[in-house]
Amino acid sequence: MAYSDKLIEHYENPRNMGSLDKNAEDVGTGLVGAPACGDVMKLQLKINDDGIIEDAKFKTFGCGSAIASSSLVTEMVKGKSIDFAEGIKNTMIAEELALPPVKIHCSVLAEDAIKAAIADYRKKQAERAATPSE
Amino acid sequence: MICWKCHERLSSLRCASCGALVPPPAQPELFGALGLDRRYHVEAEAIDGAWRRRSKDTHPDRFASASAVERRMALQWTATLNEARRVLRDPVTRAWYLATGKPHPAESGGPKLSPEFLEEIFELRMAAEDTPGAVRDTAAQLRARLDADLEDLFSRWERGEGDLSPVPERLSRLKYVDNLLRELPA
Ligand code: FES
Ligand SMILES: [Zn+2]
Repeated sequence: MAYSDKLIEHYENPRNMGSLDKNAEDVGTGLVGAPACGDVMKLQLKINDDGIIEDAKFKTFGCGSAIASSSLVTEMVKGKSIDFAEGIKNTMIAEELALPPVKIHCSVLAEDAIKAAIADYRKKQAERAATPSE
Repeated sequence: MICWKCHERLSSLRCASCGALVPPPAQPELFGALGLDRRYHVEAEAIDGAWRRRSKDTHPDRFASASAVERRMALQWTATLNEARRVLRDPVTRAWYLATGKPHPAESGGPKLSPEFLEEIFELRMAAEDTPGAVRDTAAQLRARLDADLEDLFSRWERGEGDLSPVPERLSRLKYVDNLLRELPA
């Protein structure tokens, strides 16, 4: 199976590997798994009060396509708005990396992770708004 | 069952009196294809034995001079019997098949796993880099517990108690645990 140069690039030099403080108020964490293969991915977003993604980090225990997908997606969302990040579809990732059909679920994992991270951030914000400030 | 060609009573897939082949089912039930009961508890030898007997009855060589229709039926039987053997021989694909009708989990969707479970798997994968031995022990315990759970669910089901609805969730967990075990250095 021939993989695209872009995929190999991201796999060999993954961008934004690492983690952010998951307890920080401005960090949303998404932890997701791929039922088909049992791989797991953690993706974190640091979002400022204007809804701009200031930083993104990931750690993926999975195949090369999953690592490349998470690397690419963190690069795509950095400096962008939450709304933009929420609109990312796995098909965009799959197309960008030219993933073969059997590897589509790996890009689904990256989309799920972004969505989960945003949901976690929103939950934290709602909780913060609900707690009366002293 | 009665032979479609000569109406004699059948005792195998190939009619003893005229040699005609029972038409293969369009949507085969894999246990039924091998002439086995739908059970989780079945020995690999029983599956192999059933496969061997039925494969002999339906072997395309036996129908080399039969009509084109029968030759095609023999080929289809071969494919069905091989698939049945492959899916049912492995306890994991057999369990998926019994619980969902499919030998594998769906690519997406499927049972929702608790965030705590994914968290646990993620932590174990992180720890695997430093303390693979301890992680292997923990993973082996998780595996054993899931096995016992599945064993219990299927035993009760075979006695006519309870249903298999909790099975996919257990099998999904099993996938993550097995994947972790596979990634650990030997
Ligand atoms: S094979 Fe599991 S995410 Fe790619
Ligand atoms: Zn007959």
